Amino acid sequence: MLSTLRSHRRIQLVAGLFIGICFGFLLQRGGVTRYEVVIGQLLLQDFTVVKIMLTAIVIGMIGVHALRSAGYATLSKKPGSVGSTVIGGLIFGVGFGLLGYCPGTMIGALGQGSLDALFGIAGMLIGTAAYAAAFPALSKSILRVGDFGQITIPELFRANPWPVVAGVGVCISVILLAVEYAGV
Amino acid sequence: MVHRVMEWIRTNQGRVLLLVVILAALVSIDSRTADSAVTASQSTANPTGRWSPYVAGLGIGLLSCLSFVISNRPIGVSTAYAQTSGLIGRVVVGSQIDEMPYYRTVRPEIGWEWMLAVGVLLGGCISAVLSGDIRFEPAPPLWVREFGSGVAWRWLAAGMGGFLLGVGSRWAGGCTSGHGISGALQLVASSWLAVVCFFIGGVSTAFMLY
Repeated sequence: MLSTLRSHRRIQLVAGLFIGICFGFLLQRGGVTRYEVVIGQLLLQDFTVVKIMLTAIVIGMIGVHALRSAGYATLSKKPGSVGSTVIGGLIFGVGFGLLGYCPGTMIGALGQGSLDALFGIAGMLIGTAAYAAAFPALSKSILRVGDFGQITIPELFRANPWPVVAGVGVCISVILLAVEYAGV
Repeated sequence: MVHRVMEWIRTNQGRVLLLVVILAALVSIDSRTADSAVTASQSTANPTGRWSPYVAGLGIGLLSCLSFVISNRPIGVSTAYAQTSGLIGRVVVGSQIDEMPYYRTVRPEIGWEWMLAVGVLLGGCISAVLSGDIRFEPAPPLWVREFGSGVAWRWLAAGMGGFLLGVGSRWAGGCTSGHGISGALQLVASSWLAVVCFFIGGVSTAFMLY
């Protein structure tokens, strides 16, 4: 039943659209499509972005691992290396601070009328094209540095995922409590 | 000892209890924030209809699960930009775009990820319209207060920021949604490393600007 649903192209396009609508709605309603909220987070004055992300991670982590244990989901693990993840992540971070939106929230920002997001979207399209042009050279050099492949944290420690889920869940809860006590 | 805890957690009973404990912790946080959320939203420019971040986060977490059930895919937005740049490239320079090694791995096509991005635009718009939070602004009020009303500078900064997001997200293999939420919730090592780097870069840049 699920495999028919997942291999039906038209249903999947509609599913993608539906999930996107919900995602955009939640991002806008949570306030993270606002430049002020994102910059407030990066200036460590307003922790809305971190609260949303960490809550989503806890709930999604428990749900997806339960689905996986029950055989309803397979993990989709992004590969990584020091050269790709760290360098790419830092470049992304500078763009994040300069633009004040991320790739998803700037689309939502355009939906709420923030016209500067149009320039962010145009810039990002050019950026992905520039990366595609540079990819052959990068993939032979820097992207290979410190390659650690497709690995999860439980696999890294050769542990069952559930204790890690519990540990991460507790750590995130403690962080959220600390953020609330600090009143940010 | 650790082995015994792991054995216990492997049972369904252990899993359910674990879930209850974590949810209870979250609920207690949420009830505590009810009053502080009010003051926080009052301090922002337009608090119309804004939800508690925990409610929005809960929704995104559940939506991630739904996405795995229906499509067996994680939510991620940055791939759609690469596909769109490839589609535009195909119109501008022709089909040799498809021969480029990068576009052989990320096919320029209108698929699930692309529809997701269109959905985010619609969802953001629907939410803003329903809560009366839709405002056509050429530049964010905070930027105007800090750097003046010359919008060209904001547009230039936004374009440059977007360019770096494009390069960085493809370089790292994901963005704030693909790595920051979806990868992190699957406990993928590269995603946790990426999100730490996103924030190191972002916080440093914001402190330099403001």
